[in-house]
Amino acid sequence: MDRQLKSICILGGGTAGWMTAAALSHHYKNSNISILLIESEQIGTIGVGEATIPHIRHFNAMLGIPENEFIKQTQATYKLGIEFQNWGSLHHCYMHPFGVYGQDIGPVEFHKAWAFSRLNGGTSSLFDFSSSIAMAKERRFAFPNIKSNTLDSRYSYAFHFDASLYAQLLRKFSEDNGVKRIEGKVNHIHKNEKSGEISSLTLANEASVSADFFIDCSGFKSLLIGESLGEKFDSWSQWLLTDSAIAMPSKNEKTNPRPYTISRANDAGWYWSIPLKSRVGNGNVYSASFTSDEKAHDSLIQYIEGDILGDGRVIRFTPGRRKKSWVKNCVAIGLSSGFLEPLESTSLYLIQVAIMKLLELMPVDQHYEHLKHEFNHAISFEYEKIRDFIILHYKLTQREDTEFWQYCKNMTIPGSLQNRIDLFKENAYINDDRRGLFLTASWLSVMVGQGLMPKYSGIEAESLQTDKLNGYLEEMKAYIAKEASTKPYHIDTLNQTVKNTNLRDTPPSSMSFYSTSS
Amino acid sequence: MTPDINMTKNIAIIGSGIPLFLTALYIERTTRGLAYNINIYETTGASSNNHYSAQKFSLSPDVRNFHKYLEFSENDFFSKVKPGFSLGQTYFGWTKKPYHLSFSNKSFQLLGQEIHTVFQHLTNNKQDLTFDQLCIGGHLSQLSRFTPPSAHKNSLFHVINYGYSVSEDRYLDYLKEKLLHINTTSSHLTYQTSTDDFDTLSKDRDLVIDVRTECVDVQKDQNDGQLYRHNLCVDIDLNMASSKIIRSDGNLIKLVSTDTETGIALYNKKATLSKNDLHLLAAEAPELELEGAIFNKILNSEQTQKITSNETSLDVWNDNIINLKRLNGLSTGLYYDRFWLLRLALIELKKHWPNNARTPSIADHYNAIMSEYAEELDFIDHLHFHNNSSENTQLKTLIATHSRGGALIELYQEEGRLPQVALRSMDGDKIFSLLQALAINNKKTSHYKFNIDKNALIKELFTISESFKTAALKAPTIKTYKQQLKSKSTEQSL
Ligand SMILES: Cc1cc2nc3c(=O)[nH]c(=O)nc-3n(C[C@H](O)[C@H](O)[C@H](O)COP(=O)(O)OP(=O)(O)OC[C@H]3O[C@@H](n4cnc5c(N)ncnc54)[C@H](O)[C@@H]3O)c2cc1C
Repeated sequence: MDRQLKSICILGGGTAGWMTAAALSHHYKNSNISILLIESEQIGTIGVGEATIPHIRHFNAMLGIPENEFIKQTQATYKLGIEFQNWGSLHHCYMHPFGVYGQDIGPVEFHKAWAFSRLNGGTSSLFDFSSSIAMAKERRFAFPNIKSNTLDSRYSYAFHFDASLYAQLLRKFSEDNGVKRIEGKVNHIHKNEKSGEISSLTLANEASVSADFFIDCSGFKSLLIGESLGEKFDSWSQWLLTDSAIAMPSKNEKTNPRPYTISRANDAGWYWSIPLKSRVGNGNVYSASFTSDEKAHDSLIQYIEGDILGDGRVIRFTPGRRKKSWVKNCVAIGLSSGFLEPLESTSLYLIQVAIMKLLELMPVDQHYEHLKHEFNHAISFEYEKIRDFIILHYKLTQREDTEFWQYCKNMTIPGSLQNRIDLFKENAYINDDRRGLFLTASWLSVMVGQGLMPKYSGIEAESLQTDKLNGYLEEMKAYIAKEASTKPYHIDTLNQTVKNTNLRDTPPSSMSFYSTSS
Repeated sequence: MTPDINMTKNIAIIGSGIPLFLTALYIERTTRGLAYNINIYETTGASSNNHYSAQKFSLSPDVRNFHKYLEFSENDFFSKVKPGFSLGQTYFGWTKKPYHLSFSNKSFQLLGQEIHTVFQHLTNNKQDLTFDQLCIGGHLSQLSRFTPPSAHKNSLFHVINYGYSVSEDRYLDYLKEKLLHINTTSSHLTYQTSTDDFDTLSKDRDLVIDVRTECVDVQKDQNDGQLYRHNLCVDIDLNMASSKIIRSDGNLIKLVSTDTETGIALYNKKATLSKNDLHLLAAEAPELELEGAIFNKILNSEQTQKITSNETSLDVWNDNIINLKRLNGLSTGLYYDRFWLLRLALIELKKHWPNNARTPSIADHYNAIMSEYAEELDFIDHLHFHNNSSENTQLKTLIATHSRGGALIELYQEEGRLPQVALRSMDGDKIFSLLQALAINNKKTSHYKFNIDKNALIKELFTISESFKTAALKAPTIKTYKQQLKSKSTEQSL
């Protein structure tokens, strides 16, 4: 008879480990499956990762964690998007908002109508048609009205938060749901000689932990899938040059924090600035081949506005991912499965996707060949699409002021991305695959934001009358701006939410930012 | 704006039959009022090689949106084409029991989950409950009743979806009439019959769309090793609410319902047709006489059941030529109708519409998407052929190893997971319907436990099914519905 899967061991208690533990323990609440998590305080966690994208709300909703509780416990603020400064060219900025632009005009997709207007002498900026941007600029924030489909409700939101506090919240949640936590450092990994599957782990105190199925959340160390099972790492450093980061928090001196992240390009990478309730997370992500750690450190200090809290340490990484995330009886989730620089705050999303896919495909015994294949297929798709999206920011630069940007501008990019760029250029067609992260509005933001314009706006737009269209666009723009100016300030909504003891409705739909149907 | 947009562009559409008129109407509608010249050439000959001896065929539900785009009114269509309504399809000879696949969606969620997710966990307790009984469309079909979808979101009838079954001649005439009408009123279109060769007709065009229907003939088809060699569509029952698809000796026989003389003549012949019946049918049906020769050829020829089409890309679009006739041979009519791919190809063409047709990036992407659709069609066909009662293990193995579809069936069968295939045209419920219908069951139970007694859940599902049935009984019979429609359209024309 087949051995039934009865026990799952998660190695690692960073955000990935506790998100996985929380979701599995919630899902298997009524089953006889035991879940165990091993973490080592001595080793600690990566301790960065403060910006999210809207999907996290669905994760919390799935676990039944009320939004006000989450905000209170993780010191969160709201996030409506990311502002990119100096990316397309120096002194130029644009925003990638959570939400869609404008409203389709009959059968004509909005962005094609807008492009048609621009190609015919119109002057409207695409970015004037986003409610998220309109609110963000004025540091206002209100919840989208899920029940109406009016122009000012077609956006979504995420959070800036303290990831270590989130891990604590999830730890409590998981332990309440029966997850057993073991403190200790894993020294040895034992494998079944015949099958090559992992059978048990030995801790520094000689204790042995065995399980039927292992989840590797050991961070960059990639202890199980990489070190023990030897799964190869696929490096993407020919397209993504940054390989180092320094994080340095500062005091938040603004009473009304910005409801968006800032990413400012510098000479050999970019700075982040993430406003939380009581502090601002700052960092410099750079390529050590194009600048030194000292320079990166000093320039970050120059960049930071408020009082700096603590020294930054250098974190090294290689962009890329394990060729397969599921090998034998082990699934890698989090940094152990791969890493893409935090430019679009996608790491927690990748963790979530892996968890959801795993829940869908969790084997019941040792027969899991097809499940494994399906899982790896899905994760590859997600990683590669996000990879392309991040590369797009570098490739579309017009900057040539440093060697770093010269390289980026002229580099050869993956064929899949080149194809997306060409399609947009030719007839404003956006190939968003209709699944996975980043749908039309996201590609559009970066492409247009960094100066790429289509040559032609497609046949349906051709039947629009320019004068009428321009008038309509003006009205739309004015409506969005006016509505945004009536919304409360970010801090007021935050305070209100924390006070509110009612559970919020199910999160509003994702508004085209991402789709979980992959 | 780049200057060449202002120049008038020349498009040639070359072909014959329904594909030509569908294409011409669609392209005309898409370019109406814009700087395009469209020359339509109806080629003569060629089409008699068509491997469909169909006189009647069904049209999948998406055709309704397509027609809407072409500005056809349903009343007009109804009075001129006299279609039957098709709520789904019933398959005979594929599994031990006939099964029905409804075009309508399941209308509800249970325990916060899509209904197929819940249904999956009830493998052993389901008794006689079939998945299709949880769908209003399934009940309507079974009861030969019909009502169009209700506009009210809360109505049980809101989820109804339906296609048509039509007579080829009438549909063709209808489309042709529409085109001729446009031809007389519009100056950007010319229509002519032509025997000229392709090269001459397509010379110096900005875009050429080739829809000549010279697709695989019976002989070629055999060598190609398609899953089955021939489609035969006849009408048999005036008041069926769904088409019937019979598998017999490797042939596919599709029975659809249209108001024709033959239909009336064959009214009493029900679905279980033998080889002899087919001969009989061929003799009896006046429209089929014409096809008698081909028909006999099929019945007497050797069976071949190989699977081919390992092509990764269809390369429909090459330079300034879009070769849609390539799609014809792929459309099987087994689940979607045989013009399904053509309609999709046209819709995608609108989305990909080029400023300059000779743009490789656009053509490449278009080809990739069309290949995906073709693969999807393949997968859906494979599902039908991959059933438990099939004794052809060789075929089964081929299917399992041939396509992603095959692997996904194994995923479901062996490891108990519903394939969440990224099918563009089918959602989880639809795929699950198909798996259920084909008695492809999973062998495992999940770890997941519902906080609800399974028997209570089954009871609940039965109650739901009964309430659907009760609701379905309130809908008019097909016959009554058609009469109502007829009197409505007479009223309108008065
Ligand atoms: C500079 C930077 C900025 C980032 N910004 C963002 C962001 O804005 N948004 C976002 O979504 N993501 C961001 N990320 C990514 C994010 O930080 C990670 O995805 C997330 O923290 C998950 O990490 P993890 O749990 O996989 O690894 P870790 O946090 O490293 O956890 C690893 C765990 O494994 C344990 N462990 C390791 N070895 C052993 C052993 N031998 N025995 C026992 N236990 C062991 C450790 O104790 C620890 O508990 C950023 C990453 C970096 C580097």
